[in-house]
Order: sequence, then structure tokens, then C-alpha cells
Amino acid sequence: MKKRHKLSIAILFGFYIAVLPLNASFFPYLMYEKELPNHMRIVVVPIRDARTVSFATLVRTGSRNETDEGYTGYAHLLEHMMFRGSENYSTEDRVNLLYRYGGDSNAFTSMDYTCYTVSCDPAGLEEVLALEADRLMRLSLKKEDFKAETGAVIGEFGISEKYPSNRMDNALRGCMFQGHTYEHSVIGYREDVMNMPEGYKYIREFYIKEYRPDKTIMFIAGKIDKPGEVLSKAGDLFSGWTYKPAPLPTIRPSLKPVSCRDTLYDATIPAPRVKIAWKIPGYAQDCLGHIAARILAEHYFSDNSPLMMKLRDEKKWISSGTYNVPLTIDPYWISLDLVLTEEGVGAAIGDYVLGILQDSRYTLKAGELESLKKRQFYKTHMQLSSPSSILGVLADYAHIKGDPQEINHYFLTLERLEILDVRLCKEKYLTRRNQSELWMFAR
Amino acid sequence: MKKILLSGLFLILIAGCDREIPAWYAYIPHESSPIVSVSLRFDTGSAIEPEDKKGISRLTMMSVLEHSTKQSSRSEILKELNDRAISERIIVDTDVSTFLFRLHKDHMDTWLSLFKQRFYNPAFAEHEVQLLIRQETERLEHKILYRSEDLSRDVLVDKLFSGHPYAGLSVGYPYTLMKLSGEDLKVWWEQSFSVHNMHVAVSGPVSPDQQDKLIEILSDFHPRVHPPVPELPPPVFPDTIHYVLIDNGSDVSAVSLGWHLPFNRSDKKFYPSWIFSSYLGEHRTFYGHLMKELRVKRGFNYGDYAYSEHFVQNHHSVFPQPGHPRLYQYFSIWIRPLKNQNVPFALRLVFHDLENFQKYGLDSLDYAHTKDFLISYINLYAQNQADYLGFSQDYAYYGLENFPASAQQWLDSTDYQTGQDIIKDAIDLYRMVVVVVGGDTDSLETILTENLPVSPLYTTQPGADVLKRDQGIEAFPLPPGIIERYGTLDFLQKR
Repeated sequence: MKKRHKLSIAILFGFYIAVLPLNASFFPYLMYEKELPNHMRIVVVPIRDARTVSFATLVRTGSRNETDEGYTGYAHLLEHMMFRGSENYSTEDRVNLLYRYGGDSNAFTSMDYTCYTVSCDPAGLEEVLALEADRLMRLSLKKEDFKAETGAVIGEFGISEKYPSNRMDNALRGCMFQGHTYEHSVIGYREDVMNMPEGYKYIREFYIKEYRPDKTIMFIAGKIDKPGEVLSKAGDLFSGWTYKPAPLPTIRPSLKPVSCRDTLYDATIPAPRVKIAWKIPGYAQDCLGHIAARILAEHYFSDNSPLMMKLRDEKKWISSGTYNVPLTIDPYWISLDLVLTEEGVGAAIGDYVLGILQDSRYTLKAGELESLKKRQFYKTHMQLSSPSSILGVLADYAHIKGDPQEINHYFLTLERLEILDVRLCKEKYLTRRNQSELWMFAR
Repeated sequence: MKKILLSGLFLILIAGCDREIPAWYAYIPHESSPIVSVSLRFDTGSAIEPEDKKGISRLTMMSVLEHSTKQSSRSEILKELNDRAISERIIVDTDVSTFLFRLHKDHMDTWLSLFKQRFYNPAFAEHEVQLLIRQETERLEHKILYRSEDLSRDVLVDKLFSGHPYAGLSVGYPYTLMKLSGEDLKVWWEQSFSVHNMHVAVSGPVSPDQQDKLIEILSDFHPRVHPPVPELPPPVFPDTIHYVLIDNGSDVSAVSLGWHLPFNRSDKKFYPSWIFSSYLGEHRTFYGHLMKELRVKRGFNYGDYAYSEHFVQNHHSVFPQPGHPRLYQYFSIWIRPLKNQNVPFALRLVFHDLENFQKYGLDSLDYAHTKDFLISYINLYAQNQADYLGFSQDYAYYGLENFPASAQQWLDSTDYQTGQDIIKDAIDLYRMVVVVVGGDTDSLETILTENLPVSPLYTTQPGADVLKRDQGIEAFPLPPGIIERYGTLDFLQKR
């Protein structure tokens, strides 16, 4: 069935390899896709009723790729420099062009990838395409711009390091992911950030090494009447992007259990906090295990789970709690952040949580698994509300393996997930020897 | 101010429905998406809250959505909502308060039943309300302590509207929240929210039967209650500049400054002022004059923007969040954190340039380009149905039809010369409030008091043209005014 669709669309659009999602697949829009000889991918998603057009350019480089000591934070710094002009468009040209089409241009950097977004009037589609191509392939990286931009990053660091949650994240990841680049935050270590003004030579090397067509996917969605033409124009623009396929640094994932314990002190915090985390498989190495871990997190740590109700309503140990399981390439964490009612409960809470995880009365049942699968299905569906949000969701899944169809694979795997997979995941990862805890108390 | 009924804005389509559609109900068909959006807005907000009950509207609405009813426990309700990924939010502002619902069409019937139960029979259970108060208080203290940028903007509004119902935080204060009980919330719900101060906008694939059901539920919502209409006197403009310095011991300082505007979006004069704020800098974009001067040329900070009305960022987007229409507006400038040493220079640059704009206005090309930009840019405000409903309701508040077309027409309708005069008139340089939240405020106070010249501190030396311009700014006299000093937590203390 899938092959037949591929063929029929390929005939329609000549040489393009375009893929229609399977009828049973998750993503509800038609996706036209093309892979260039240099391995860059371009994806076009026309959306009926849209009044605007959006671009999301995914470069599969984030803080995970910062392997050189003393140079953390450079993926993020490079994201800043991408707004500082390219060979054929100065900063001012870029601003003027986007301005003409009422455009919004932004970007963010995560651990695994960097994503550049533009939304604008559909009349600007072709010119914006050329603008985006130019900065990806021919970034200016002028020294004076670089120096000025390091000032902006240092300012951003000043804001970010104040938040207790960031300080807790940094301390815990520093212990849990030693030897892996997830050890440092996206913005980088303080010392490295402060030294950035001296890193001009390095950022040029980083750009050449990491920004390559085989690590890039451009998504375009919105009011697009002729997706084939858009693919063709994008293909022409990017076909000249060449690169020397130099080997990229090896990043070794480790699932070795780890159990860190530490306490931070801050006299100003309004309430004591604890962060409990478990190392779990990365999606790239073990997608089933990763998805199972996400299901477990939702089961045990959602706001109305038995554990959270006990902690909050019965024991009155916490006033609130949130959990987080980022979709990552390599092993990362399920983290549970709890705001405590008093410091005295801090020491006992980790054991109590573990006790509930090991108590068979709270083990996930088959019926509950089906509900949680539906919950994930609808939750993601609800995010597909505008061209820019659709692209944001697509990029987040696609970043893992560079496959724009990853969102469909994810939900197919989720559908196949069985209760045994989830129990196995719990037995392997939600254990005492794989549980880390970090407290933050007023001194 | 003239207000029109939102229902007049939309094509009302309820196929097969013979009965009369109430004036408070509007439906926008949008059937290509499986998502249903419902925006339920009440003409009530923090401006009518008594001084000692600040935050009660927000707390009441949260309790209705998130807590037990007389029939179901909180846990049962949450499970129903979570399993269906139904999104529910509230937005409380001074003049209006909004419930926003987003759900997949598969779940409309379940949601209607959950909605009815909660709107008609909220329990306001004391233990749940007290827990919510605790959570809100912690969130508030956390925000005040760690989000200096938000604090600078909150203090700006508070000081500009000192003595006016707009003053203070719409989320309340620890000392007001802690005094509230479940019974207070129940009374507030029953006296401030009813079918008589309500506007409903619905979009998405909703069947005629489901629409009928929603109308039926809402038609009977507190029908005998006629909530008080907020009485909002004009704010008193300050008679001099107020410099408000809040010391948090940080290396960097966030700056917000602003002044009153004698018009809002319902007035033709608003649109040139909007062009001016957009020229100075749209929120989180690189286009603006201030962004170019402070970040691009000088590398001072992360961003610098201006606003011609009250602005709240719409989640992670760069656009405004709907749900904040206000009768009285103000113009503001937001300088994101910069090194403490650079605050005097940045302030001088802003005052210097504002003084120039007040004398000479905007260049005609800049005016035309900014106007064209805005006409296009406003299309990005509402990229999804829920935002479209919200902005349409905001425009209806101002008596305007057809978002965004009406704004685009008004932008286009003012000629350059008239626009110039409005911009020059609207810059109120000497009745401004300037808020600085950061460290080393002792030095800043001395510099302000004695008007000492200060050179900028650069990470890297900018070009000769920038340095030359700096010379004219370093000693630019800052207007004298009243200097007020506070600690970070002072803002949360009893007023």
C-alpha cells in the first residue's frame, strides 16, 4: 500500500520522491518530500485554510554535538550568528526582506538540534526560501558581529543561571551524564560562555563541521497551492550545497545505571524542592524502550496519578509536581520536580516514590495502557493547530534520525507497545540504583 | 465606549436550527480541522476586585476548572480531561476574563457534560482552594524573585496606574490570596459571572445538536444575576518622571519605561502610535530601531522592544496573547537585561532618540514601510482558531468588526502628516515611569541625581560611527524626577 502511494505521487511530480502517509498513519496532512543528491531533505505540507506560510529548518546539531572541551554553548551561539547576515544578504537585507512580507523569524537550540523558523505572507515564499538557503550555505560570520553577539549570549546566560530549576537541572545532569555531552546545558558552562568573545576561530570551524546538507531538513507548510513547484525551487537552491563528508565526532551513549545525590542551598527560594530522575534509553537506540518510559512517566507522575495524589493530598509533602521526558537521541532522563511543603520531608520522599513504583498495586494495567496511548495520540494531535506548530512537531520527531516520517513511526511503535514492554522498562530503569535525587533548600 | 456584540461579526451557521440564536453566541465554521475551540469571555476582571481580594477572579476560575464538583472528585474530572487531551486555560485581565477550551471533535459530547457539571456545581472545597492558594503564592514569589524582566513590567503598570483599578497584579498578592476561602470564591462566582456579561465564540466541526446543547447550558447560567459593570475612571497622569529602582543584587538590570496614552484601539489615533511602537521594535524581532541601536550595533543585551498597548506574550510565540483588551492604554519600552554599568547609557539613548522623534517624528519612508509591515504582520497574530476567536472578541470589545481587516483598513487610512502629528503628541517624555530591576542601584541613583556622564562598557569595540554617536549620548541630560527605591519583595507586601 505504502509503495503504491509513493509511486503514484512520484509520477505526478516527476523525479520527486514524495510520500503520502499511510491511511492509518498519525500525521493527518499530505507530506511532499524530496531528498537531494547531497542528502538534504525538503518537505512541503500544504494546509487548506492557512493564510500564511511557515518554514522550519532543522539542523541536527545541538549542545549534544559540542564535544570539544572549553567550547560548550557554541551550537546556541551559532544560532545567534545565523541572524547576522550571509554572503548575498546583509543583516539589514535580511531584516528588510522579512519586513516586506510581515515576517516573523526566530530560532531555538536544544540538546540535539537547532531549528530556524520563519512565518510570513505567502507572497514572500520564494524570496524567503532563497534567504534561508543563503544563510545555511554561505553564512558571513564577521568578526565584529561575532563579538557583539557574544554580549547578547552572556546577557542571556545571566538571566538563565538565576532560575533555581536551571541550577538544579545543571547540577543533576552534570552528575548523571558524565562523559556524555548531555552533561552540559544548551547555553554552556559559565566559563565557556564568558570566554566566547575569544572563540571566533572556533565558531567558523564549528559551522563548517556541523552545518551540512546531510544534517539538514527544511519543512515548509501553509498556504501552498503547488507543492511540486516549491520542492523544485528549493531543490534548485540547495543543490549546490556541497560538503566534505568529514567524520563527525563520536558521541557514545551510555545507559549505565547511575545514582547521584546532592543538595544545593539558596536562602532566597520560596519553597524547598527536590528533583528525582531516572536514566532511560534514548529514542535512537531503543525507541520501544523510550516510548515505554514516556508511558510510565505519564502513568506514575501525571497530576492525578495515585502517587501524586498521595504526596499532595494525603501526606501533604508537596504542593505541586511536574515531570519531563524529552524526546532525545541518546539516553537522557525522566525527571520529577517536586515543590515541598517543608524541608523535613526531603530525605524520605525519594524512598517513598520508589516504594510506589515497586508496589504491584500501582503497576500499569492493560486497560490503562490503552488509555495512555490514546492520551498521547490526542495530545500530539492537539498541537497540530497552525502551520508553524505543525512544523514544530514534525521537526521534533524528525531530529532523531533525520526522517521526516518519524512521527508516523513513533505512533506506529506506540500502537504496538505491549504491557510487557512497559513492565520490562520499569524493571530495568525505575530502580534504586538508577535513581538520582537533588534537593534545593534554603540554608 | 461603544461596544458591539461579537455575534454580529460572524456568519452564524447552525444548520437545521429553528430557534433564535442568542446575541452572546457566535460560531465560525472551520471544518477542515478536527479541533474545536470555545472562547467564553466575561465582562469582569481584576479591575472590579476589592483591594483586599486581588486575585480572586483568577482563583475562582481556576477552582471551577480544576477542582471537584458536587458530583465528581477532582481526580475523576482530571482523568476524563487528560485521557482526551482536552486543553483548558483561563486568561484574567483588568477588564475581561476568558475561559479557553480546545478539544478534538471526538470529545465534544463528553466535554459538554464535564463543562456543565463544573459551571453549575463547582464544590469550592476548602482543602482544594487552600492548596491552590499555596501553589499560586509560591508561583508568584518565584516569579517576583527570579523573573526580573516580568517584575520590571509589572511594576511599570502598577506605578503608572497608581490609585487606579488597573494598579497591582491581576494574579493577586500572597497577603490577599491567603485571606480567601472557598466560600469567598463561591460568592464571587455567583455574583460576577453570568449569562448577562458573557460572550461565547465557537469554531471547528461542531454539530448543530452540539451547538444547541452548549447554548442551552449557557442560557441558564446564573440568569438572575446581573454582575456589576466595572466603573473605570480615567487614570491620573504623573506630574513628573518617576524613576523606580528595585535592587536584586544582580549583575544585570532589566528596564521598563512607559507613559499613558489618551486613546485605545477603538480610536483612529491609536494606529499611528502603533506604527511608532512597531518602528521602535516589535516584541522579540530584529526589526526595530531600539534593537538595532542597543543589540545589533552595541551588543548590549538580548532584545529591546516597544508596545502601544498592554502586552502579554502568547506562550512561546512572539505575538500578543488575546484576552487583554483595556479601556485605558499605555505606551511602553522594554530593555532586556543589560550590564548594570550600561543602564545609564541605554536610558540616555532612549530618551535622546525619543526626544528626536518628538521633535521630528518618523521619516516618511519609515512610516510607510512600517505601516505596510504591520498590515502583513497582523495576519500572523492568529495562526490558529483559538487565537482567531480571542482576537475577534478583543476587537469586538473595542467596537470593531472583522479582525484583522478592520485594523488593516485603519492603518492604511491615516495619511503621513496626520500620523506624524499624532506620534509627536503621544510621546509624553516628562510624565513617564522608568523601572529598573537589577544590581548596583546606589550608583544608578547617584548618576540620576547628579546627572553624571557615563561611557558605555563594550565587550567589543563597535565601529567609529557608533562611537561618535555615543559621544553625543553619554552626557545627554536625563530629565529630573522622583527617585523611588525598593527591595525585590517589597512589591509583594501589603499596600
